[in-house]
Order: sequence, then structure tokens, then C-alpha cells
Amino acid sequence: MYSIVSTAIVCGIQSILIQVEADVCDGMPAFEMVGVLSSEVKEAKERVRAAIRNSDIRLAPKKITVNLYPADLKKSGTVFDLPIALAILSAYGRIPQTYLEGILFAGEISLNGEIRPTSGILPMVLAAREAGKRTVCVPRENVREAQIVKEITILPADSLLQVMEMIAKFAEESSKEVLNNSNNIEETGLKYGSTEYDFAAIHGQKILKRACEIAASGRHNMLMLGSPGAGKTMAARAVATILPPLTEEEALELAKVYSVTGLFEQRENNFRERPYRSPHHTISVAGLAGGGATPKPGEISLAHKGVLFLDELTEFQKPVLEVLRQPLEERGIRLVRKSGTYFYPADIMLIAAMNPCHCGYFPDRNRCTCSRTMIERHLNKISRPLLDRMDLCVEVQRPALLDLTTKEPEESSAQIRGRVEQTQRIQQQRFAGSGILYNSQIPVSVIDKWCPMQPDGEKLLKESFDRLELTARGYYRIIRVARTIADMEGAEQICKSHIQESLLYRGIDRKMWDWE
Amino acid sequence: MKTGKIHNKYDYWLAGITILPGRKKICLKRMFEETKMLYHAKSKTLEHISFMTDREREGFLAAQNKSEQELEREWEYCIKNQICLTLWQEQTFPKKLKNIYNPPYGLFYQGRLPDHRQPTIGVVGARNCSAYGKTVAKKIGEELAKSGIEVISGMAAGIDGAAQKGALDANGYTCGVLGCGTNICYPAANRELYQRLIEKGSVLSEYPPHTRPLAMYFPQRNRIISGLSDVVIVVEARERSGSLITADFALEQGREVYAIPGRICDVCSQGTNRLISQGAGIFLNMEDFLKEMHIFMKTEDNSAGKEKIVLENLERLVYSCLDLTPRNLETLMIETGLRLGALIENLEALQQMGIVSEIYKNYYIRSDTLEL
Repeated sequence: MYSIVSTAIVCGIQSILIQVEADVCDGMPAFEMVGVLSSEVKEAKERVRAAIRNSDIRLAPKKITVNLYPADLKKSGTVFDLPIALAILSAYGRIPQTYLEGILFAGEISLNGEIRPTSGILPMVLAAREAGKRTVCVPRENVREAQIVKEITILPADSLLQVMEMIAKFAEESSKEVLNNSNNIEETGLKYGSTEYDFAAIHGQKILKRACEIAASGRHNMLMLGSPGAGKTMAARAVATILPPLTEEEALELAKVYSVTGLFEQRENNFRERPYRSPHHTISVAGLAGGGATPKPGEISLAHKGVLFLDELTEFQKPVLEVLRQPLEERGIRLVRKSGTYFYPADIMLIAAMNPCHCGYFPDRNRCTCSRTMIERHLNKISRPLLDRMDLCVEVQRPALLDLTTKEPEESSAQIRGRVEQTQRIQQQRFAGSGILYNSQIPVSVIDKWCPMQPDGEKLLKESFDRLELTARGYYRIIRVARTIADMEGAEQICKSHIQESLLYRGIDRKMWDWE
Repeated sequence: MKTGKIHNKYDYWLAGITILPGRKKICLKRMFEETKMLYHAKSKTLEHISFMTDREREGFLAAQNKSEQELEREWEYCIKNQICLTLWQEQTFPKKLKNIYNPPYGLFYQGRLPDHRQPTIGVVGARNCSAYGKTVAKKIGEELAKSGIEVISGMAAGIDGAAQKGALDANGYTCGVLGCGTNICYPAANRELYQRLIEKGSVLSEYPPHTRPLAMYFPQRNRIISGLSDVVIVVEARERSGSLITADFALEQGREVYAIPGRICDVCSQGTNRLISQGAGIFLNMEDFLKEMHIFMKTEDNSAGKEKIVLENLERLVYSCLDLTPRNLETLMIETGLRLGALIENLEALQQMGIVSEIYKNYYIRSDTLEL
């Protein structure tokens, strides 16, 4: 007999529907599986055979053929166990084919017939909905993931027998086990973590805080320079808390990335919160950008729409940092493999921190013993193209004890977030319909149109260009940051004071270290 | 070229042998009279020369292995690139340097040699110096140049370079003594200064062209700095640093040593303060210093020409928080209690007046206070 079951595979953060066909006929007892399978899919054969037997289902020895199509796609992953088992049972006549129609099945199976959770459920459910299916059957542990998708009925799977029972009842429309999308994005609402990383916990550091607010408002990348223990890490964490919540669309896209990485539980309770990722500096290229034979998203994609914090920037391997350049421009990364092209979104706000020199105390010559050459070598670890992508550069000084012990209440993240939201609204009104969202993305070609400057501001900028030996990139960065500062004040035009402040955050350049 | 006629390739060859100390080369030259003879001297003959150690003899023999063509080529290179040579016994050789212990046999130089009739002062100090040291060094260089004094230094990063820049800025003469060949600019970051020295002053070295800057050459280089100077001023030095070696050489050679006092907590001033405690002269201001040196400057009255700058209230507040130690913007915000906007506004104004400068990004110092 012949049967067919729907399932799906993940490709990038998209999902493609796959049909599992099974045929059972008389002949030499055998179990054949075809359809360009990776090793973990081939192993499904053993798992399925054991799971069926251990579920007390006795099948007569016959020739079984299983085919997964479309046959030109490489099938990998462990979601095929459940659909293969069901297709075989159906082909044996144990489950009527009609029960299986219109349902997407996915799940890994253990030898005793239990259904195990798997990664990538969310994009699969979305693909199922797009393909017109209204019901999915997924492992119980993955149910919350599937519930994000609206207008879909979810059948939670515990074991092979339970699934068989459930789909029978469901077909007769009497199942009590059916779950609907009970906790979709709105209900989960906003949970902005603990107050541990609130800006209220950072005392003093006025300039750092100001720079963080500007960076968050215009979504600028930021580089922090400072001696060890100055509070760079704390500030980076806090930046994530002053970004406005994700929109539903953004949250869904991000959830997909986490789903295919198998890290969905990290976003289960905080869908709308901006992600914050801080990989250790020993990370590999594939770890940061994504990769592998069957690519998985890297840290830059896990930080999509949020903050990627690279502490001790100079300690990262050079190729790892260089790989960041293109994703920062394209807001995503395209990985090309023999098996296909995978696109992962990576629209990140990059925050980096580093010591100003090897010992970390420059320019305090009483403590810093680095020679000029050592300082240059230290800085040369970061390539200029990457430095050019850092819009704000701010020095972080160790706070004075006075600042730490003061009882004066500091502004909380919530207060700052209110202002950031306001500034971002101004930007979105200005850029409506142009495809960009933030000041940091203003292309050079239209910079004059969107960044009108008052004459004295323009004059100051021109003077500074020569005095500070700015590069062309540096010049435009200053205008973009000044635009954000002006927006924070609600000013239409960029004034001298905005340029002045923007100049404070100019990047580290040759001039800065040239203390001759 | 003038030098080409005076010296032959053998002179260049002998002057360029780094393994032999200058005084031994001078003795050898006296014994053999012609450098050509030295070049062709047999190893047997050399064995009878008692003042050469075995190592030196070996090195000397190795130098003899250079072919005539090679000597010719090196000699031509010098002439083509205007690298001149002056030998110990010649008129052009700096007189002050003649009578030190172990004078160099020859000096390679580009530019004009220091004038022996003019007073010369060596200004030396740490490479990793503070903003205070750098400002002082530059100012001293300027003031000395204005008084017609020639500044001798080592063209190093930090104090040396700053002093020489100051002297050049004031249109004075300054001489950089290098620890490598004069055709090599070390440190490379001083390229601009190097060019200016060749044009307006000089660079000189006892090492032949193409000699790499090796650490072992620098202490020897320091003896030439102090030897060329009447007085050595140490601006900033850490304990046990190269600048103190220069000071030791200076004392050995009977030169006066002056040190710039610093705060006891500054590591860059520990060496100089130590010199003072050991009896070095204290440099307090230029006038006193020159008086003690019996140099009478053709001073023009500075105070008359200068306009008194009037500061507004906030400007004065910001200005009063600054000195020669770089202050970070954050610190200034706390000290002045001003808002960021107001603070940068005032800093900008002060910078426009030229009395404050931003030495590193977001670090400010006063830039006018120094009246030496």
C-alpha cells in the first residue's frame, strides 16, 4: 500500500515542505530509504523500526520503501523520524491515509517511541501555514514555539501511540488535546529583564551614558575605549535595555533565527525584548558569522535587531573581525554552500570595547609604560575598514569613588527608552518610504537633503576636517551622529552645538594617537 | 663634492668599522699614516699591535675582506647622497668632541655641523614622556634657539624630538645625533623632523650609512650628545633610563648637568629629581639658567608685546581646572559642574584663543602657561 505524510526541512531561516512517501509490498523483507539523505536521516531507519516495535505495534515483515521528495534537496535534520514512522504505519494500513492529510508532522523519535523536541519548528509551522495547512503536529516541548503562529491548530506529540490516538480523535473532531495559539506575541508582552543591567545602576559616567543614548537613538555602532574595570561591559548590556521593543514582525523574524539554532527557549518569555549577545573573543569565524557544512546562524544573526557586544576587540582573531564588515553593510549574511545558499538576517547594533593600549592606562603616563610603537601595534590589530564603521567612539574613565558612593538617583533605562523611542519616531517620519529607518543608515548621496546644517555648524565642521585630519568616512559619520543629536533635541537643522558634540565622539584616528 | 676630494674610500672604510672604538682607530691611523696601508695591512702585522683585543682584531680582519669595489660603491653612495665625513684630526671636526674619552674617529653627517664658537646645549629625556615634559622640552628648545644657542639631541620620540622641533620652529640650529646610519630615519614616525634637520640643522652619527638602529649603539650615541654639548638638560627621565646614561657621560666629560624638577609622584620625573638630589643644577626658568651659564641673551621684552587675554566667567572656571596634566572631558565635567554642552562650548572658545589644546581625543591641557 502507499501513503504520504507532509513534513518540512529548514533552509536558512526559511522552511521548505517535504513529502514523505511510504510503500509496503510483498517480497524480501527490507527497509529502503531514498531521496538524497544525510546520515542523520538515514539513521532514522533504525530509530523508527525500534520505536514501532517498542510501541507494541507488530508489523509483518515486508518490503518497505520510503521516499522523501522533492528528491533534489539534501535532507538533513531529525524532524523526519515521526513522519517516516507515520507513513509506514499508514502504508501498513494501521492509520487511515485521510487522518494524515492536511497536517504537518515533525519530530524526532526515541527508541521507546517517545517524541523528542527538535530545532527549527517555528519556520516549519510558518511554511505549513503558507502552504495552506491548518494543523501541525509537533513535539510537546516545541509547542510554545509553534504557538507564536496565528491561525494554526497544534497537536502536541508525546509518543508514537499517543499521536496515532490523537490524530484519530482529531479527525473525528473530538480531540481535547488541541492547542491553539494561546500565547502569541502581544500577550507575552514586554519583560525587560532584571534591574541589574539598568542604566540606573551606573553612577557617574555622564559622557558614556550620553554616547549610549545617542547610539541607541540613531542605531549607531559604538566603540568604547577605556581602562580595565571602567564599566564598559555594564554599559553595553544597558544599551539593550534602552532600545524600543521589537515590532511583531521583527520579533517573529528573530524567533525564527533562534528556532533554527535550537535556542528558542531563550526567547520564549521575552519575545519583544532586543537581544544582547556578547561572544567571547576566542570565537571562530563560523561562530560569529554563521557557518558549518549545513550552515547554522552565528552570533551576528542571534543579535539580529539587537546588540552585539564584542569585548576586548583587539583580542579577537583578525579574520573573525574582518568577516563582520560585509554583514554590517548588508544587514545580513549570505552563506553559499554546495547544498545551496543560506541567508541569515543580521541587522545589528555593534558595540565594541577595547583597552586604549596594551596595559590599558594610556594616556596616563604614570601608569602606562607602553611605547608609541606598542600602542600603534595594539591599535593596528583593528583594521581601518572596521574602525570606519564605528560611528561613535567614547573614552570610558574609571569612575571616581565619589561617583560610586553618591546616593543621587540616576535615570532609569525606562526613562531613557522613552526619549529614544521619541527620537526614533522622528527619524521614521523623516525617512518614511525611503527604505531606511535610522540616521546611521543615511546614504552619502542624500546626506545634504536630510542633514541641513546651519552656516556656523558647517564652518566648524570644515575647520575640524583639516584640524583633525578626518577621513571622508569620518566626516560623514560626524554628520550622521550630529543628525541624531539634533533629533534628540527635536531640532530641524543641525546647529554648531550638535557638530561640536558629535566631534567629541569622532573615531580614533591617526591624529588622536599622534601625541608628538 | 668637497668631501670626496678630501677623503678617499679607505677613510670611509675605517670610519665605518663599528667594532673598533674611536680612540683605537686614531692610534692605528697614527701608526700607519695612510688608511690605504691599514686596509692592506697583513694579519701578522696586526698581531704586534698590543692594544687590539682578539675580538677587535678578528672584526678588523673581517672588515678587510671587503673588496675594493665594495668600498668604492659605498664611498660613491655617500657622495651621491651628500653624506659627509669629518675625521678626528681635521679642522671641521667638532672641537668639543675632540677631547672626550674615546672620541669617535669620524663622524658621518648630513647638514651643517655645530658651530664650535656657539654655545651648545643638549636637551635629552624619556621617549615615553608626559605632556608636561613634552611641553617643557619644546619650550626650552624654542627659547634656546631664540638666544642663539645650538640644541643637541637624539631625534628620539618624546622629549628629544619635541626639543628639536621647538628649536626648528624658532628658526634655530639643532643637531640630531643618531644611533644608526644617518640615511636611516629612526624612529620612522619622526620623518618630518628628520627632513627638517637635514635642511636646517644636521643629523650625525659615528656609524656608517645603512647601520641598523641596534640597542647597543644608543648608549654610545649618548656620549656624543653630551660631548657636543656645553651643558646637558635632562627634561624627564625614569629611574635607570638612557637619559641618565647621558647625564653620567656629561659629568665624566666635565659638562654641567641640569634637570627639570617634577612632581615626586610622576614616574617620568623620578630620574630627574634623583639627579637634582645628587647635585645637578635645577632648571627653574630660562633667564636664571642662562645667567648661570654666563650667556647673555638678546632678550626682547616679552611682556610688552603680549596682549592680556580676558576670560569670561565660565571660561575662567574651565581654564582654572586645567594644567599640564591631561584632563579627560568626564573629569572636567565633574570638576566644573557644567553640562556637557556648556563645557565643550567653553573649551572650544579657549582652544580658539590658543590657551588650551586637546592633546589626545577628549584630553585637554593648558598650552600657554609656560613662561620660561
